[in-house]
Amino acid sequence: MNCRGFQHRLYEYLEGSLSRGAQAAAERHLSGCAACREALGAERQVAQSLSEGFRRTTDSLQLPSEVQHRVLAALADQRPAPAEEPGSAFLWGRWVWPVGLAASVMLLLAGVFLYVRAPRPQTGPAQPRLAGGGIQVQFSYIVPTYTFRQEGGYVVDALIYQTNVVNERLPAEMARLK
Amino acid sequence: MDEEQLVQGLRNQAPGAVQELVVSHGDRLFRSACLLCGDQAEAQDLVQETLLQAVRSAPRFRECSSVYTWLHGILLNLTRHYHRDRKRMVYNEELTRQEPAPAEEHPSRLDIELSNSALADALNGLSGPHREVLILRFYEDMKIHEIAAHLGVSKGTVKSRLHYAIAEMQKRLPGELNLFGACGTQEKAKR
Repeated sequence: MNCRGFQHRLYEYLEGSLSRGAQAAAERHLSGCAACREALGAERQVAQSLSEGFRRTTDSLQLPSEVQHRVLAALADQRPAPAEEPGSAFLWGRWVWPVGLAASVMLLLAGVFLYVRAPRPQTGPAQPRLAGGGIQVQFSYIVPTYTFRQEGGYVVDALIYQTNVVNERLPAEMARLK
Repeated sequence: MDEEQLVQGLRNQAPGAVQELVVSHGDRLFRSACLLCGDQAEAQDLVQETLLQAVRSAPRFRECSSVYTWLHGILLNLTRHYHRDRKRMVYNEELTRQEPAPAEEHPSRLDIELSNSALADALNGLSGPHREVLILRFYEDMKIHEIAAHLGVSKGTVKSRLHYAIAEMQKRLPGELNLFGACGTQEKAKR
């Protein structure tokens, strides 16, 4: 190993991370080279001085305890909120829209279904003919109403059927169309 | 709590594990952050963010390195962002006025204060990459190949940066301030 080779491996020599062969070669070179011995001594002194200097500068520093509290608080903030009691305001606020939407869709479908199956006005000879050619019609239909309300901490839903009765006079023009 | 249990606790974000992380690594990390960024208030913020990021990324920690090395890697990244944002670092004099620990050769208090201040100023004058290698080598006691792995650069780059950083420190530090070698004070004492 020559001076250049030793200088190239100086840091590894100091930290003792050279291979056994390289370490032996470095020591052989050092035994015969005063300049490299001096460079090694200077490097050791630098390392010691810097290590001590850094430690002197920072030894008394301690991480303030509030940092730990801030970390714990930040972690607590990012966690999902714990589940509250069923029916609490939290659940109300969270579920009111999905439930409302589902209820509206159900109401619409139920309305269509009931409309299709609703009793048709009776026609034919039994219908009393009115003076002027019109007919009197009478039929009933059912309107489902889906409601939900908050009672205390609970969401209460209800489906109510309301029967409407229609008893109207159908004009002669419309009666003839039929 | 060993490191495996600690990491497992962090993955579950257990407050006990977070507390253990702060107790076992907080001070050392904070000191390193102070040297890296030169400002105690910023160092506190950096360490706080490092701990938070560590807990959040604990599920991805593969335990190839020690917990401290992993934390320090996060700290280094954050510090680089800090330097990038700040463009020009101003060394906080507060850091340089810390009560010094007694050194073996018992230099005078004035010597220590002057040398700490000079050390801080000299460190402040280095570029980020040069400051990093100096701190990793002489404060964190890392070996060349460990620094290379930590910074993601070659060993040759580490040695080159180290060589330049030491030369710069020697240039910037007044010789009479007893930094490079205990002989400074002894020589002064002899005089």
